[in-house]
Amino acid sequence: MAAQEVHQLNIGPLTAHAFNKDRTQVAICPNNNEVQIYQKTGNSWNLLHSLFEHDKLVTSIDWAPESNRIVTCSQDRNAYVWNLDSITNKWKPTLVLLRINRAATCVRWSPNEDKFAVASGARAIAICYFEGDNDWWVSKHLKKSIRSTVLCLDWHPNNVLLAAGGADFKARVFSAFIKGVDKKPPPTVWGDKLPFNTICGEYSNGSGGWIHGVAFSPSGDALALCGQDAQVTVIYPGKHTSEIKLSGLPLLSLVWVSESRIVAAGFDCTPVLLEAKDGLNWQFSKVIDAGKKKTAGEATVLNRFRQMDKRGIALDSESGNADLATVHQNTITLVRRYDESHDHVSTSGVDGRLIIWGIKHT
Amino acid sequence: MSFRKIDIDALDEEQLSREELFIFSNGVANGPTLESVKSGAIDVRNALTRGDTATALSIALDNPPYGLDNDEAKTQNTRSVLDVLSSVKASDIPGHVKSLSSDQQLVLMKYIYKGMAAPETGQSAVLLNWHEKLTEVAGVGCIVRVITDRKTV
Amino acid sequence: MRALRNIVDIFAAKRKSNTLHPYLAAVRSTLTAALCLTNFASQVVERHNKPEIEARSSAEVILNPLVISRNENEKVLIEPSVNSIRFSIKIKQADEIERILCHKFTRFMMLRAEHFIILRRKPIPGYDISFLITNFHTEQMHKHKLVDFIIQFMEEVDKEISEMKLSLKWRARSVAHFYLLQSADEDYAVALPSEAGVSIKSFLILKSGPYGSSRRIVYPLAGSQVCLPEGL
Repeated sequence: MAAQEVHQLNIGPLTAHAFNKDRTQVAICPNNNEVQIYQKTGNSWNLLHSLFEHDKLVTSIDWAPESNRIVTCSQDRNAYVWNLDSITNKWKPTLVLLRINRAATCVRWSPNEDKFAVASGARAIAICYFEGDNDWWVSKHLKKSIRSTVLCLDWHPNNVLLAAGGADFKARVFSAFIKGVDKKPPPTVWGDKLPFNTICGEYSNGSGGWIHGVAFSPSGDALALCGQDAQVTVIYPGKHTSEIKLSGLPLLSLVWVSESRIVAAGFDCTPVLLEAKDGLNWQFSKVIDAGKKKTAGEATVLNRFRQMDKRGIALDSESGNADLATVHQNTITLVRRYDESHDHVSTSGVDGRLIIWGIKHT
Repeated sequence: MSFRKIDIDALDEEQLSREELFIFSNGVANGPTLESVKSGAIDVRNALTRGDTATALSIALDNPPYGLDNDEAKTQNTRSVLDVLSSVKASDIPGHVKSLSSDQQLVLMKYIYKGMAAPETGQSAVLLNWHEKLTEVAGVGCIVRVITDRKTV
Repeated sequence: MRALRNIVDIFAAKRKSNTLHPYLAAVRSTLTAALCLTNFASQVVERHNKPEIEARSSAEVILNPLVISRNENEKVLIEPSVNSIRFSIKIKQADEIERILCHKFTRFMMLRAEHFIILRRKPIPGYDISFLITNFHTEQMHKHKLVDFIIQFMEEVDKEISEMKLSLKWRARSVAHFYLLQSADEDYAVALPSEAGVSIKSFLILKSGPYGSSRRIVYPLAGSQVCLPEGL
């Protein structure tokens, strides 16, 4: 089993996490309106900054590696772009004109870091870009055929296409081409003429589950989506669609670690590896965190009574205590790529743990 | 009706209706008709009288009536599925369950829950037994899909 | 005859416990599947976050409700949604006393719902007790422990009610015994219900008098006075 680093950053849930470029700092939200930035020293994390600007739960954080800017969004319908002031060493917020009237659910920088997308419960996605003339982040809305809350986003590597999955059981690929920001992209498998608000594709798992996670493959030629119906669908547009029906609980988030491997995680509290055998046929490969073995032999009556006496509680007959055998103790809500070489992924979840998994040799 | 009781949210055009949700989960409006379900039910009964429960089960589970307005066909097919389920010996259940495809397992799980929703037929004990065996084979993922899928039987 | 009936009873009990296990197993797996909750802000009301299964503001975030039944009198209803589930139990009630006891018991709990955290203050029509579990509960508590709690509750509540029924019978019997001993003529012998199957509401009084033996039923619980007729 691959080694993993476990960091307990909060007692309650972590709703989001994002690392900076060299992964010495991490921004998290401890299930409230606060964004915390931790600095890594040795093997522990020290709180460096607390960013208070939102007034409801922060739902998503993204850290642009090159330009070193943080964007956060919240259920208070706002998003802020944070810039580090080099003189005072403080993070300064800039409000973004999202023009949405419901909770913002997910935010992601585009690969070139010149714009970002905010998903929302207003049945719209705000594509935000910086307008130098007014010194504002302004937004344009993608609204076409979205019928419910948008839950997840992922940018295509070409900086123009955007995948979004929602509570209307559908994942869609949009063009988020902004005149003046983007250059005309070369044709992709998703289409060649891509004015703003073009729908390049609409996909679903087919069993009526909300789409919790979408991700483009590293090349951008395939899209994977996972939903509440415990299914993963991998789409090679115009060519092939591969469906994986899981026997466990639904997945909430997924990332590609190569063109033929996906790491996903969700309500089963462990990341799982999906692999494409012979390139196209995707299959469930294995559970990355098999869980620690239950120690046998200590279940003698005497020991049990001793334990009960010591802790004052009746013990679970099977596991000995309330903990799960997995490293994450509750639902994993987010899986992210950790480094550029795709050797590691980071996961955070409802148990307040941030875990970095080595997946190279699994 | 008092104006206070009017559901104004339902008047919001953006709201998804039951019909749209059905289509959004890949439901096809023109499912099997009552006639085809009835002829299927005869095949099921013939297979049952031959003692061929495996065939009976797969006929009953293939191409089940979904749709929103064909309750009669749904009731008919539920009856034939439940007939098959109650005529299988308890010791044969695991074998039957394993031989089904994953789609058939999902359909079977839907019928098991449908059967359990009507306990007055007195088949709950049989259905619970099937449920236990089917969950062992298909996992909770199968139950998750019964919960999410708007293509109800 | 008695022995035969005992054997029949034993078999009935055995069959019953045999269906209890698959029933609870089905409830457990279904609950596990349904308890996949996420934080979800209302898409109808601005800046609100409410349990969608109660608010019912958008159809797409409400999932198919499921019923698991053991028989007509014992079933559960699971209504899942994106950020909350409602779990309702119909508790076994074989007779009038169990119905009263069950009502009293669930009412006692629901009056104190805030101490039980996941308990709903009112049951869903057709059921005796309902739980409302939201994503905030699954964030604070282990999900498998929540499921364990509910399964344990289902096991205990039957036991609890049959125990209450037994103690109620025992109490009523001894009360009636002493009451009737005080007021009865020596002519009257009191036959008290000794088997569980006899309703405690009525007591059979046997009269052995000069006119032979006759039977009369009195209701010591219903009225405070027991009139023993003379010379009947």
